[in-house]
Amino acid sequence: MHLSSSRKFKDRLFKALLIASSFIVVVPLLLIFNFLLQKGITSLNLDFLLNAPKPVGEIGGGMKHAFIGTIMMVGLGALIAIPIGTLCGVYLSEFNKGRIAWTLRFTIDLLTGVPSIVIGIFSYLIIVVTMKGFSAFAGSFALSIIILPTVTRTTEEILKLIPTHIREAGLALGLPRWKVIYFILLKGSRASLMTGIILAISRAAGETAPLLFTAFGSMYVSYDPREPMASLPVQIYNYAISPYDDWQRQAWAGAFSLILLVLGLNIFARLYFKKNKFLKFFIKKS
Amino acid sequence: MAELNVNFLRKQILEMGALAEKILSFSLVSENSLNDIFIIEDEINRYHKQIDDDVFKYIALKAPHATDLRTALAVMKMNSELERMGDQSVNIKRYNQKLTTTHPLLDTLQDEVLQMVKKSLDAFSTSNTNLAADVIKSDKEVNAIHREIIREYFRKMKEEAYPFEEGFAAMRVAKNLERIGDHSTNICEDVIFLDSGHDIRHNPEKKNERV
Amino acid sequence: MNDIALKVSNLQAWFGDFHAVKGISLDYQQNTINAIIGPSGCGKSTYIRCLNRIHEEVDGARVSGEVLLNGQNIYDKKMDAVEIRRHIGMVFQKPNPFASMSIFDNVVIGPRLWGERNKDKLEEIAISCLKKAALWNEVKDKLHQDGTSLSGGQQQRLCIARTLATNPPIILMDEPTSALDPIASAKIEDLMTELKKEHSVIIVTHNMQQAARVADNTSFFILGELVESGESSQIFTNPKKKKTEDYITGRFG
Repeated sequence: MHLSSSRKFKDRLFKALLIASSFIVVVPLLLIFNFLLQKGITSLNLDFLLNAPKPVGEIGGGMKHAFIGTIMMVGLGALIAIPIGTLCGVYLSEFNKGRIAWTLRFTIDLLTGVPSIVIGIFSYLIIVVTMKGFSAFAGSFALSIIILPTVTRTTEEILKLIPTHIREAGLALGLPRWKVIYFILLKGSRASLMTGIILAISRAAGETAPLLFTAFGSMYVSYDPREPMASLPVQIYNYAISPYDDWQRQAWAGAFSLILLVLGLNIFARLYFKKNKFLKFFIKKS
Repeated sequence: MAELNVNFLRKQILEMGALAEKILSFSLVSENSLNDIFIIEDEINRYHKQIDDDVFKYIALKAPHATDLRTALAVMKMNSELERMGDQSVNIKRYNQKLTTTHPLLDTLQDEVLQMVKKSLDAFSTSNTNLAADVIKSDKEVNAIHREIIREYFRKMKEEAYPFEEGFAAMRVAKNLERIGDHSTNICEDVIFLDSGHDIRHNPEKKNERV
Repeated sequence: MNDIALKVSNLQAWFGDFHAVKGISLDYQQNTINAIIGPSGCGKSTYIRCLNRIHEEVDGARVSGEVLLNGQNIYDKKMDAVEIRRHIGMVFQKPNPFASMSIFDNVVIGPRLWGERNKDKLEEIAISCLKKAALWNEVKDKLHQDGTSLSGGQQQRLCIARTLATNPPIILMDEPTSALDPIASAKIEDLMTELKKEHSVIIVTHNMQQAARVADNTSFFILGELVESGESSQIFTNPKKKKTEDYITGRFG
């Protein structure tokens, strides 16, 4: 009898600890969001979203150029990274033997650990110096290096989850290996793969350091990848360290927009592709 | 190859049964020769082997249960009875050929036994346990007629100097007919087992029951 | 006497150093169902996977010997394994409809990926294969639902329909009913009996009763070797080898 109630207590204590840890993790996110909401929401208006910056000293204007820049550079970076990353992921999952696979996996693992500022400096040396100038293209290049390892890892993990007999069933139909990989394995897991890709993109959207050395930033709306380009994180940084109140106000709005963007992408990724599971989560709760 | 199932086995045994009926009726009339009888007997023996083999394979391959299993076993047993009936009919023909006259009791016995054979096969075909029970009951009467015939001919040979060969032949005919009656009875016991799962053999009370 | 659909000569197979199949020779008649039985690890799955050259897709796998389809050795250097597999289909133990694909797409994926673009032709193939697989009535109103929304038995019939889309003369089945309940298994067995009218079936099964029920011929393997092969009616009533007898009567394995 005595033993049992002591064990029950330990069980409850342990469970309480787990729940407390979960709260500790969730609370900061809520606090950040709330803080940014309060600081930024008043400034998040149409003027902010749809207009380019006004000249220094004038009140108003917005971060249209930064929104466009982020979308373009992240988009371009994704365009480069996704096909290459997917192919690497496929290679690691389906042809996983020999030195090439080992080297590839090693490299990918290292890349995930490289600080993004180092990636920025590397891109500077490769692209900016060669092209003799900052450019959105250099920014995209840096972002693609950030996106690539995540896409590779996600693709590899997802494909590895598919049981061998699915592949064999495809081969048994008289299909060549590449068709099995593309039409059955990749197409079949497109939901999970898309989720992974979107998560990788949302991470890249928030990167600041690499863009400092590559796209550099700009106060003008530009669609030319050969020229420097603004981006949301860099713009927030520039405004935040400036002495102008109006710019600092806009920085809060920018920060709030950025977190909305990142959270939005995350929620979209999880919700859209896994509708059923998401709904079940809510139904169980109530 | 035909599909190996209970319906096939039933069909086979009924075909064999038809031959048993035929060979009995042929053996009782003079138009047919012994050779005709032999031809039918060969056919019966072919069925005998084939059906045993079919039932064996059916049980081994299909692992039947319940009614299917009882049917298979019943078919195997009936197979044996019908083959014996064939043999006995051949004997009847042999002895019948030696008879110059007949006896009303013999005629009665012939008719009764022919009926028993027909009814027993009908009972199997339609799973009619009442009909089967009737056949089993009538066996008593057939046995009585048989005993009467033996006594009659015995008396005739003793007291009226009836030709020994004819008397003996007549008694053999009667004996074989009585045995055929027995086989029909056995078939009917198998029908009752098939239908109800009850083994009524050697059980006088059950035999008198109507299901 | 039927023609020979597939002729296996001295087939051997290895997993690295492990000699899994040790010289098996068998002839398979047209339009028959042929079962392979034997205790676990006797090489029957490896053997059947050599018949459509799936075994060699595994690392370290090696095969020697001949498998003749229409007189041609599928292991000949000039033969394309991918092409071969259109003529020798396979159904697996776990039903495996392809994910994120409708029932219709699952059935026609073979022909479609070889270049059949004609929608009517694809529809024709789908209907006929689903009918042959005894699944049409159950899915005709929901052809565009996901393949994985079906029950286990239905999924397996879907996989059979998918295999039939290539109209292979030979169909291999590796324990096709192991993962199914008895009723679903019975349906697949009935299906096999129908299929043999137009195809030749080779099935690996650990369920002896199934082999007895369904197969015209049965082969018994132990440790990669063929112990005995013959008509099921002979094997299950009067096996020639003692080992076969012992296995069938449950004295070992």
